[in-house]
Amino acid sequence: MNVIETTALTKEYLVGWRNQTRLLALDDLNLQVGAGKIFGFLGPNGAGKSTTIKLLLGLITPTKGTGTLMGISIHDKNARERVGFLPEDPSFCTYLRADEFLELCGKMLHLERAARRQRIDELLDLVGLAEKRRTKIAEFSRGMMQRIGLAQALMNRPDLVLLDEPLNGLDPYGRKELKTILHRQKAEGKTVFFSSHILSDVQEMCDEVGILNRGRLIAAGRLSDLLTARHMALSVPELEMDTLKRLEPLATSITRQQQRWHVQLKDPSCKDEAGAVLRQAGQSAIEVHAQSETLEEFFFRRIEEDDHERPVHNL
Amino acid sequence: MNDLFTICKTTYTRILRTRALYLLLAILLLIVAAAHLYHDLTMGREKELMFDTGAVVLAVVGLLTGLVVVFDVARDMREKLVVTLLSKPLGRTQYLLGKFAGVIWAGTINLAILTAGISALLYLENGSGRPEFLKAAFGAWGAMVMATGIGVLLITFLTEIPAVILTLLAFGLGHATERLYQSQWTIGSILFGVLPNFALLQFKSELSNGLAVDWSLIGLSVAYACVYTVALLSVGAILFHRRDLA
Repeated sequence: MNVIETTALTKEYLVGWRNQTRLLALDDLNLQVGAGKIFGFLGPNGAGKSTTIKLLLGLITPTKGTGTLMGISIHDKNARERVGFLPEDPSFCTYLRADEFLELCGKMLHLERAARRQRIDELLDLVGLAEKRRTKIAEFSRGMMQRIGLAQALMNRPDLVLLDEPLNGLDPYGRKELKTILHRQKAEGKTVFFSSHILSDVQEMCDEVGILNRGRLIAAGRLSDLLTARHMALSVPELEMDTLKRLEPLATSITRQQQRWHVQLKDPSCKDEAGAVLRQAGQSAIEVHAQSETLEEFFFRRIEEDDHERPVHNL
Repeated sequence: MNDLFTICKTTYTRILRTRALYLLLAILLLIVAAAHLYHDLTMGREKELMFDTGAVVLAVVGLLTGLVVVFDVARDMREKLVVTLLSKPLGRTQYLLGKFAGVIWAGTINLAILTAGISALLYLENGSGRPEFLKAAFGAWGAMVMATGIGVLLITFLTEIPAVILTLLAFGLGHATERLYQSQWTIGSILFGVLPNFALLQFKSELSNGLAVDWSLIGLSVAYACVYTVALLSVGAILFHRRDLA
């Protein structure tokens, strides 16, 4: 069973006062996220990432389509029983102390008093705020706010953790700790679904990603399947001038380093043609480097392709 | 029910932790006490002035309570506390009723403090107790409940500033409903039927001038306020369920 499943989930907003125009925030989203995965949800600003998360949590009503969390309809408040959520840029109850805020969240999750107190201690330790437990949230920095937000999201040991831009405001230590916490969640069989703009972190942490652009899901799947071999380079000991000239149209660069020629191919598909040129010259590559596309490269390529396929004025 | 109580208690705690509140209560009591100084200006009717000012002060606290709920819910939305709490298995109606109950709880305590303080001032001024002020306080409590209900209803579909303006407008027009009814305009009669009738809960003119107001009349007026508020909260709950929480 998928932990998250959406079918044709769509959200349209009416914008403006007198001359109302329709803004398609999410367009026919069909998404499945399996259990025990870390799923990264990517997209430019306004792509519909936060809208999707809010739809999943029943905070906004879909224009059409439906979805389930752990098999329960998103319209049913029981679907949120086993879910933890961290909103984007929260500020929470600034008049409460850290432990009082977690106490409030624990009560909302119907945790018993003893279990609640124990969990609060564990979580404050986990997010590194144990010494700030009696500090008012109003005095927290942005990074500390993210930490306390993460603590409340994990209060009920949720099966699904939904995080909206959790890396915002965290320093490198905070980001590292967050990654450790999320990996621990995964190791415990929990599912983590988060949106982010920090593509290097997403690539490092996620098993699967989905990319939204202007409300539409333009790519989704396992990272290993999405990031194909994008760059290929050959190393050759000696090359005649004639062979170099024949390789030039296939390469982005040809350089000489440490007694070797390095031929950076334009495309991995040029590999066979370059091999044929070398064989004709009585040479063969002594090393072939295949470099996968980075998530960042994949992201920009897919967004550009989508923008080309669906120009903005068509919306 | 537990969830509702938790929201109620949190809201109450938030209001009690607002230091400005205590300053405001002290200032209001001082304003009432100042009536003692107006012997010459009122030609010896400073006792009536004190009673009248006390009743107005209670009405003002009622109105402020109605505005507090608007600011409180708006702040929860701004701080993303609403989305955080509603992402847990908490119903929107529970949240809304919890907010209402928390504000009413704090407002009732404020009114009780002021009523006790003003009653003590009246006792000092008159040299004897005046139980009539308690009647005015009950009326003010009914008005506070209704003003808070209006605030809750408006903040379910409006942003902070328009909700505040309309609450003030409803409170003002609600004190002039009799005049609307007597006007020749059709719209005046419609507004009389729809708008909250705060004038029904004002007994200060009668009481300050020593006229008798029966407890049953006060009971009926407060019952009207409660029924009207239930209607406001019901509509508010429906609207809040339909609202997209950004």
